[in-house]
Amino acid sequence: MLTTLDQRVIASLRDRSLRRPGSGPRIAVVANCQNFSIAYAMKLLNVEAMVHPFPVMFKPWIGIKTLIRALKLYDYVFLQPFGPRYVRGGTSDTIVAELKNLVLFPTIVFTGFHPDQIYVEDRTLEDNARIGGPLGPYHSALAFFAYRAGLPVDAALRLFNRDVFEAVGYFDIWNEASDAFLREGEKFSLDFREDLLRWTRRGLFMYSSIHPKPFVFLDVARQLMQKAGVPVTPINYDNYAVDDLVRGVVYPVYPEIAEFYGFSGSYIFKGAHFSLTHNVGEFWTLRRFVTDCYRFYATYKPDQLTNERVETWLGDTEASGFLLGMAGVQPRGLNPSGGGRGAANLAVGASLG
Amino acid sequence: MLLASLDRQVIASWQKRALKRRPSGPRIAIVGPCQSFGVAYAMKLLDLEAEIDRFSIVSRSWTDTKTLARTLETYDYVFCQDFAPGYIRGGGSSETLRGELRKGIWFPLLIFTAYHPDLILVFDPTKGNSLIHCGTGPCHSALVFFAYRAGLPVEAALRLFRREVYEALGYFDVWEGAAAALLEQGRQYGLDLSADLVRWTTRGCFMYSVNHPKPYVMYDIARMLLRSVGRPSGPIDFDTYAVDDIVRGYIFPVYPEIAEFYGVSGSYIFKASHYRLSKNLGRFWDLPGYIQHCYGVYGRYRPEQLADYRVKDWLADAATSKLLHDFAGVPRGRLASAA
Repeated sequence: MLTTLDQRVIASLRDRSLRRPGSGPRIAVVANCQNFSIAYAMKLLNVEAMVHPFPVMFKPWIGIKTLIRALKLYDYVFLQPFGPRYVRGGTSDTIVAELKNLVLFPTIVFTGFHPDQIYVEDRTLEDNARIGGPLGPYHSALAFFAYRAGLPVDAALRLFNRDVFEAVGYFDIWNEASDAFLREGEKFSLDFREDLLRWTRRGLFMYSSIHPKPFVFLDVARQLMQKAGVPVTPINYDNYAVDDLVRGVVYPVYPEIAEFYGFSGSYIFKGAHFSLTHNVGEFWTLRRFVTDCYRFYATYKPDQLTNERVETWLGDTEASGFLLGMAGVQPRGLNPSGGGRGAANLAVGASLG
Repeated sequence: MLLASLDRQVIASWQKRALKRRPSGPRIAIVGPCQSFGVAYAMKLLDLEAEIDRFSIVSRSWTDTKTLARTLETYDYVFCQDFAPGYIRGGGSSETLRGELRKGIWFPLLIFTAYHPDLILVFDPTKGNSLIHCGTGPCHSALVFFAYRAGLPVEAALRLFRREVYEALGYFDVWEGAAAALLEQGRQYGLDLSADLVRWTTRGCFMYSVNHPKPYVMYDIARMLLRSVGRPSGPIDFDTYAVDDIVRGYIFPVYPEIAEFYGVSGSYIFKASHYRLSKNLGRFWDLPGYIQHCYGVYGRYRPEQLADYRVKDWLADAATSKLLHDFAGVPRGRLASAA
């Protein structure tokens, strides 16, 4: 079956208008799940431009050479780096070696609002591939810890409170998250400092650590176009912002964390739902989310699933004892530390693995 | 005949009933045209225990009024918006559904015209006044339509899009009337929208076109409706979850001069409907492109097939017609003598 990337490449190779100069620039955006949002913002910043998104998400039938042949038809190519698993015969480096009119840009990742969001890996799969759960690849570190520690759901729910978040450092990651984000931009010669300030002033700007809101993409797109020398025109973007990513997973900003940053949060977990014709999609309360995560995890062997942070918690007597104590479970052979900020070895970094 | 989304929802609803699947909360049905998704989605977020089914009236369906009413009667709450004949088989409309449905709670189809005073509907009198569609769906620019009917070239039509013309035509004087009409719509259905209107206004332009509100508008309507039946009505951080179906449809711009008047930002970018986001971005026009596009659409019709309620008066009124011709830089006499 053809993927959307296959369809795009075939359409571009067959498009005669790409072979002759038009009134506006011809732009290709090669990127992961963020491709539509970047491309859409570029189109609105320059309505005369012909902008085509090349989504690199599912392994296509076409190989890297065909992809490069299609990309050569464009005046400007904006490319997010991708690894060897995505397109047969090459990576983004292969494209970089072949194209001159190229601007590289990073995947926009910001972890400051979602410190509990982690990926869970399957040790038995090649490269420890990530497993899906109710929210696709996104899991809760606290829920996964609770499962691995053998806690019942009711006990797991007791971990979702301000004292635990304080102890595990969930209120202390903003600076590291910002630095990590800005450093990532700098690697691509992009300066996001002013943008980050502007986004922060609008409140929450991420649906999950890897899914920004549309106004983020507008600023990124503008900077990329300016860097490439593509003319841009100011636009009242909020009046046109088709939001592809909000149809995907929304990982909540827990109310305690949201309050810390001065906006309102929730424990509503939203599933991915792309067809809006008659259903509104699926949502989970915290209890249902934890219960369903447990169900997913139970389909694997006990030691099959892993996450670096949770392994650290489990392997550290003090951290583990603290969390079990907060869950209201007396740890065997451990002394629960009883909350507070003492458990320094619990703290997570901005990498939030 | 292909099944419409309404047909599929009716079938899905009876399937669920046959399987005796019962949610922990109430079963709620939302019936209506383009705005119904926004209300249904907001209701789900406000009342996570509820099962929310949307019965969208957007295309011609196989389902008739009786079947629809019978299906809806199985729900605990049914919230309905008015809809025109032509969608339900057998000539059904919201009027006929009202007659069949005992438990319907009706709410208004929101219309607010102040941001888009140039927007008109154009219809074909030779085909039962069926709406004529262009790139922005049934929404047309009165000035473009006037220019076309007056025989003005595209460049002349372009000169009509300016502050002086908008002032002369009263485009800056419509807020009060539009607000009063919106509040009256609410009142007719027992809803007081006055505080909401103020809140929406403080967020800037809250409409994509005269009948396409932004998601937070539908969220407030959903809250009111849920409150009326004693179900949870928030508040929640809706902006974090606001899936916007309507923005994928056509967008009629708020012209910069009008936007500036209201303290919001505007543009002359016209957006076509585009629902499949996987490989294309959809179609957009700047003002010259849009005028050319509309001229192309009108050119496919015979003159007697194009009608509206506003432009015909402008054309018939010598003073208005002269004024617009003058602003377009094509005095009437010159055009007439050229013709």
